Amino acid sequence: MTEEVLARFSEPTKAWFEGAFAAPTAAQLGAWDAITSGRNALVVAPTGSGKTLAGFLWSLDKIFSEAPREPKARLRTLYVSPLKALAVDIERNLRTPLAGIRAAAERDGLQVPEVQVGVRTGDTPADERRRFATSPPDILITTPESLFLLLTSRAREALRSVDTVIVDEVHAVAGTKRGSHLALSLERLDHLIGHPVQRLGLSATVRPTDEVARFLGGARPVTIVDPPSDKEFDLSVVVPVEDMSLMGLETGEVLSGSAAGAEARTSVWPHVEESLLELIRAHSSTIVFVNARRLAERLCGRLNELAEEEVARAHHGSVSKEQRRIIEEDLKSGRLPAVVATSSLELGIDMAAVDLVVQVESPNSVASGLQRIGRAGHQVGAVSRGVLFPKFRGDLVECAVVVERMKQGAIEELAYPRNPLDVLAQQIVATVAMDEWTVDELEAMVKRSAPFADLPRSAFEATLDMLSGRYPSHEFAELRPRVNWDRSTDLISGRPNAQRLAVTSGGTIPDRGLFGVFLAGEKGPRVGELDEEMVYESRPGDVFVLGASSWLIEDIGHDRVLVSPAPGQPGKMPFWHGDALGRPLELGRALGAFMRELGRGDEAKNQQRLRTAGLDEYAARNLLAYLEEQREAAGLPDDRTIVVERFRDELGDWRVCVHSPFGARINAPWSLAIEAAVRDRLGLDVQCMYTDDGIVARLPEADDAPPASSILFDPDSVEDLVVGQVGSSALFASRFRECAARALLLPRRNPGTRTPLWQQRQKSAQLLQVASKHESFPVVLEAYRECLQDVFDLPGLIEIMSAIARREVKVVEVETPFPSPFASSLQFGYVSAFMYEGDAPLAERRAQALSLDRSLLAEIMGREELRELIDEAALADIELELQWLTSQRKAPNADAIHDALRALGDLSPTELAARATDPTLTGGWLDELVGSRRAIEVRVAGESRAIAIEDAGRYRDALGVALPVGIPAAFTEPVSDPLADLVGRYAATHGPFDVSGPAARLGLGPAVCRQALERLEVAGRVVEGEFRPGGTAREWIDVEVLRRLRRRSLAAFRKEVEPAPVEALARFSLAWHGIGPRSSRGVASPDALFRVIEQLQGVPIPASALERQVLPARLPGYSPGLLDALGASGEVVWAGAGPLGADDGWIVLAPADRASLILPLPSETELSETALALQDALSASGASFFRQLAERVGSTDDNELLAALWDLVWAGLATNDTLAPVRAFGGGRRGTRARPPQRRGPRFPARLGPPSGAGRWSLVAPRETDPTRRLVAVTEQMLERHGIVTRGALQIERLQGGFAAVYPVLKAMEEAGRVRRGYFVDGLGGAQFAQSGAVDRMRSLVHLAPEELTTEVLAATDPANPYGAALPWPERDGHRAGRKAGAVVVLTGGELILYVEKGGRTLLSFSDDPERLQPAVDALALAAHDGLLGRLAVERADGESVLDSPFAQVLMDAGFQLSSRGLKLRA
Amino acid sequence: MPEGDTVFLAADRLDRALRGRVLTRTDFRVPRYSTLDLAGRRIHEVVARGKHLLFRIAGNMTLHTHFQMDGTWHIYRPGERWRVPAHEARVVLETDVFTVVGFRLPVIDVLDRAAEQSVVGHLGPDLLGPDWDPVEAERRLAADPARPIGEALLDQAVMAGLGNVYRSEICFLMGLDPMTPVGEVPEPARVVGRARAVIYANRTTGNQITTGDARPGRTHWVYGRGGEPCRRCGDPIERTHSGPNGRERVIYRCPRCQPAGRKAHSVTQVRGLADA
Repeated sequence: MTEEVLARFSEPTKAWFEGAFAAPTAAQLGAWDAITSGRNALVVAPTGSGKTLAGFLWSLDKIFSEAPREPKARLRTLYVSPLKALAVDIERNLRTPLAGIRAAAERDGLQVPEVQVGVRTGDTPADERRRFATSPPDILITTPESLFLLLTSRAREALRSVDTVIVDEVHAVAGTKRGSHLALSLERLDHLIGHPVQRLGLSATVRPTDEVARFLGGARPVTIVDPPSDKEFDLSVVVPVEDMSLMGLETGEVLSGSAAGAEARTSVWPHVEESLLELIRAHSSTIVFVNARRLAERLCGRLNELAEEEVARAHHGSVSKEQRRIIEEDLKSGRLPAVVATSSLELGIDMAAVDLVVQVESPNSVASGLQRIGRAGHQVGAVSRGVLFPKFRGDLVECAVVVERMKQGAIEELAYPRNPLDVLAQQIVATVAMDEWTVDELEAMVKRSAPFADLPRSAFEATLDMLSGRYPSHEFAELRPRVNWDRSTDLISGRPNAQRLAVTSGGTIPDRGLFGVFLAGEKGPRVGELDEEMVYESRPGDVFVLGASSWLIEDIGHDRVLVSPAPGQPGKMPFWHGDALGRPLELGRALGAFMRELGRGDEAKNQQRLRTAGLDEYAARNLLAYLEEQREAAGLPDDRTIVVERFRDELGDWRVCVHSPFGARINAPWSLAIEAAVRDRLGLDVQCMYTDDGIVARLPEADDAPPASSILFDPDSVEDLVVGQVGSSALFASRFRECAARALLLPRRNPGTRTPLWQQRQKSAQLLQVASKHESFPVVLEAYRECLQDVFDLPGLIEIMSAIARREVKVVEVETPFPSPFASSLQFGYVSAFMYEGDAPLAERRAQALSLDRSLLAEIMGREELRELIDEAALADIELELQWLTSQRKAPNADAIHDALRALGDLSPTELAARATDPTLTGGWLDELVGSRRAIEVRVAGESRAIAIEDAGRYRDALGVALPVGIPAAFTEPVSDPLADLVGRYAATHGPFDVSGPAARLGLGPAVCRQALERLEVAGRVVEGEFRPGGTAREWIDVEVLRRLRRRSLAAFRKEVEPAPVEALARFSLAWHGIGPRSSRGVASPDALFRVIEQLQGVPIPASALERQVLPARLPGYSPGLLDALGASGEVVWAGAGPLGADDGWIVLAPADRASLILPLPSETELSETALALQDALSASGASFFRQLAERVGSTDDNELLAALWDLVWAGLATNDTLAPVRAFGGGRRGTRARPPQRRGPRFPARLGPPSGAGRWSLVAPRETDPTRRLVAVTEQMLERHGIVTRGALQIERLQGGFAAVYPVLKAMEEAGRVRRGYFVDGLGGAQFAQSGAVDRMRSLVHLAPEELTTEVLAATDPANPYGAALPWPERDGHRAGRKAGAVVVLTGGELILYVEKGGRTLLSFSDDPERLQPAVDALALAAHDGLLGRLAVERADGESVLDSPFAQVLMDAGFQLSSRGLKLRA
Repeated sequence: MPEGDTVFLAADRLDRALRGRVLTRTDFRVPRYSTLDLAGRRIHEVVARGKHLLFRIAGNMTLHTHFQMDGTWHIYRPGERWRVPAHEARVVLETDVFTVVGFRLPVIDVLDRAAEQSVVGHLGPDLLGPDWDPVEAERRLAADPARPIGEALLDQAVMAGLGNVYRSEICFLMGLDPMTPVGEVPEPARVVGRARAVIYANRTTGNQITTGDARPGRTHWVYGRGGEPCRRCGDPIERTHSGPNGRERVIYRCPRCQPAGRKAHSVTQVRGLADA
């Protein structure tokens, strides 16, 4: 093939090539094959595989061998490079083939034309640019920006003869807006020429190649040339210290230097610097890559200091280009052994001599790692040698993964941005500035480019709308039309200024606010640049370091800093804001997989793997130790496990670390969502910080850390949450500014000078204010898109959330006493933050993104019953404040009187006196004000009153008040609604009032007044309702006053109560449930039972406990017949809520009319086919007996059918008229007495079916599915049930979402006056809510006489038992108590005395006092006698055999008898 | 700009370097004390009072210095090269272990120990002092209700320790326009509490971090960020001046988060929503 392809070239070219090179590389062959056949091609090959020649040789060959063209149509080949410096390099590199081919041709006696190569970049002088138009070269080397300018100027004529475009370093632009911009320029070029030009793309290794090929070709086919790479890498990861965990500790030593400087700490840096210097000295030419300019400066300085000579210089984007060129030359020529660089040296510039590349810190992506290490041995076939120095242990892990993946060539996928509308707007302005277009043509041209291939017509038109002046330019001048859109002909043309605007303000590289740094003096050369923020923190006289030299600031101008050299003076390190995007998701997953695999592998294998990857011994050991420590402390996160770690920090605040290796682009939007959700759901202010490795949230003033559920989101809602947050972030503001600038909405005043950043920001903020009123404003949409897709990886986050929902990624929660190693490194750099005081109300405004429907919630809550809520004392205080009658408010002088008149409106002399510090002086003050025309005296409502002069017109127009003469016209101009002004002011300065208040005050008719109030109501300034405590009439109130009043009242209520001790809660719980002698349910009747069920509705209770313990405890004399009666009459229904072992299950009762809201949602377990058939049968035929069902389903196997039926029951789907089948279901247990014998349910003959299939079966009523309604119902029910709801009480409620879910409802209920919040019970945290009356009841139980302390036996699962729910089980060693089915508790005076497990096998005591134990045991025995417990046989007590325990005597005293295994009570 | 926490840290470090050591040489490069020689005396302790430093030296003497805008103390080993040009040195104190040098110090007094009150007696409660008294600070703050809060925070006679960075930051954190008269600040006690909390949290680092983020350029909410977007609402931060006539100093505020004429969030308002 080689021969065949080479044969396509003319003889001189072939001869030169064969003479100069042994053989073409695979990339060259593939490229030439495609190019010479006229195809578009993308050539992918690592640096050093002869790409330049691959791209150019065919063009050169044609120029040499074809007949010369006329001078103005000479340009054939356009070469576009993203780097200006690269353009210069290429020009130089072309000299060899040009000279070589010429020589070969001349050897053959051929006449060849002179070949001209031109360069045009931002640096090209003006005269050279002019020459281009008249005498273009054969080959033009340019940048995307200069191509855009060419296309938008008359010089574009010279481009008409182009037949080939070479786009170099495609991978570096394709993923950015520069690429989108270039793609449109290429389409414009094709359009100008009239036919598609051949496109050649040159790229370093990139993935996926078809995405890049699509980017290059747009609608055209592109041949991909991607030969397998034989590039070899020799990579190692070096850690120069034995134990990295010892780094960063304070040494306690007094350091030299500023007394207020940083503390002395151990550091890995001295070790890294030493090893680095050794490496530099052992190689001839080294590039050291770092990730930040600041670090480049610092490291470079340290290396030179250590070497005591200049071994290295810093090279980064802020060093001026002249300086950079010198540094590059010095490195190439061997004069300089090393360069410390940022990504500025990453792209193609020829650095052939470099034989080592060092990377300090992980390069953040495999792609960037390959690109950088590839700088070494940058020639065909050479081995690239690279050494990585990790900075800390977390970084070491990433380095290891990056190195492994570099060897596999597993670089991250690239994607080009879709539909960037800001770029589109700019290119449209530029395009139509040159020619007139029809809308359709323009759209077709745009859509031929890949980034806009799927551009929706609506977005295209919205952009045209914006450019043609649809948005109001009176609000923001730069919104004036740039193009004319003649909608009758659909022609688009540029306005006169459009071309100039595009040329002066075009391009896509944002102005990030850098100040140029220049040497002081006339036309001093540029030294580099500094970040604006850094400049603001500096003053003239400061010394800073740039390019490894020190500079003294002489002067700071509005866009530049003037400096003079300050050699030898130590200076501060400048900082620049990087815009690194963080670890890509793909690498994050790889890192997770790496940790998972290492977590599983054995030590030796892991060692082997790491050493093979290139880690040195210390590196491997440190890494494994780090992962091991983490696994022990909190567990290792990985690609399938997110670890949520909680601990308290030194201030006692909770910190929650979400260990997620998925990278900052995922973690950043995630932390936004967490902030919003925690604020909304829990009402807590949380501060989040994210890194590539996770999120740290700090919760000041929280009782408990939030549950893991608050960091997880429904995949469908996370987008809303993030979108809701990002719009108000500073990130959005800055991206919006950049997008607006790209869309030419923030044009530069003068070309060449930059608008100061603060000015740009101010203008952009104004624009945003205008734009945000319009939903489809293209720049707002684009700013969102950029934030969510380019900066964040929102689709990635949604994917992670879905994976969690699908259980592919699991979330593990741990609580640690100290931060784990991962947590410590996450928190690095995170110190005490202080939050803005008002951020909670802000959260309220953001609430719309919640799954809880707030407006529905408000609707359900109904009209607020505010009288209940308003505190009289608070109202009285506020009324005094509003009227300026408090002592702080009183007026000390005439000025203050004037203020009072302006704020309060008309005031009579008496009223004025009441508001003065010295009432006797008010007369004089008023005269003074009247004399100076600041107030006037008028008659209002038949009384003489003073008003402020500013109100003169208002009183005249509203009330017809006669004004004295001589009032300046400014104060008498008509206002739009003077009456509403006066009435509104009355409202704003009074508490609740009825309409007669302002009517009397202003001397108006009530009807007129009411109309004014209604206008104010529409405007949202006042509301009508019932407010004043003790009042009866409808009243009005100003909304702000109401807000203050409510807040103040709530605070007053909350403070009102002294907290009660926890025992009181336990006593209260029993009393509230009507358990014990103080209850008064009366005799057992269906009505009494119904009242009990009303309270118990919705809570799951084990079937075994329901009729034996729970109901009898509340209703002495309870018999099952009562419940069956309620069931049969249809007043009460029951549903199952999950089985409990083989013979028991959870039962929920509910009054029939509440069933759909209160019964739990059916469980989503998978049902058998029989069960599904049964369900259908029940649904079709309604209530049926077992036999009828069997017939319908066609079942002959009773056992199978019964099992299916019970599956339906426990899933919450099927129910029965009575509880009889439930009793029978549990009746199979051996050795226990299932129920009192006298009340056994009726026996069914076998022909009717088995006993547990007895009665009429039906489907449980369909449930309400609206989550808000359910939540409100459940919350209300919980309050009914418990009286006082604390966070713990919820544990028995089986609520989805836990406390976080009900909290907003409780909050809303509090605000509606339906529940009180306070610190009612000591030690249970702040989130306590109570029904009115409940707290008083509890407080009445605080002090009880000893004889009032009764003893009760309850099922441990009884909702009235507070232990294990509202209250923790008392601390004890050994066997633990739990709310288990079958277990009972014995409480005396609310105090837990005994806990007995099912059947009595284990007994735990919580008191040592025999005085308390004996009554408890007696009560236990009595309950057993009454048949409430079944058989009791105690085997173990407090962890030892009962016979050996002190309990034996107590039990025997209560009637227990010895048996073979313990003590048994014979019932 | 040194604020109370910087001075506190400097005092701590100087105290560690000097406490109990005997001066071997002293050099006062100011005309007033050019002939003073304290060699042979022992340094008892170095303490901070607000933004003042007091070196207590044997013989009932006190060396008092104040950093003002850009003074600084450095600590060196004997013979080590100074990191600030020598002509800026004002005081050199040598012991056999450390040499400490005060550069650009605009205020230097050598006093009788009993006269310390004459230089620090006017100070309000020291925010970082062992005897911090918030009640007294609040009383002093309220004494002049017409004075803008931004100005009052800088007054060392109200509370000692706050400087220009903190006053901007505290006003922002409280949502207060710096021009709000003290009398209209709804809960001055919270402002005092906030001031203490903020400076206390930074006392060991000397970085005035209020955002929780120690990375360069991210440490402050508003200070030094004129024209930048507010970290909270995105509006550009405004750079204005505040202070008594003729002594105005730059102050930063966010016009949206700290609107003129609005009262700060009262506790109930904030608590009502934020508590759980």
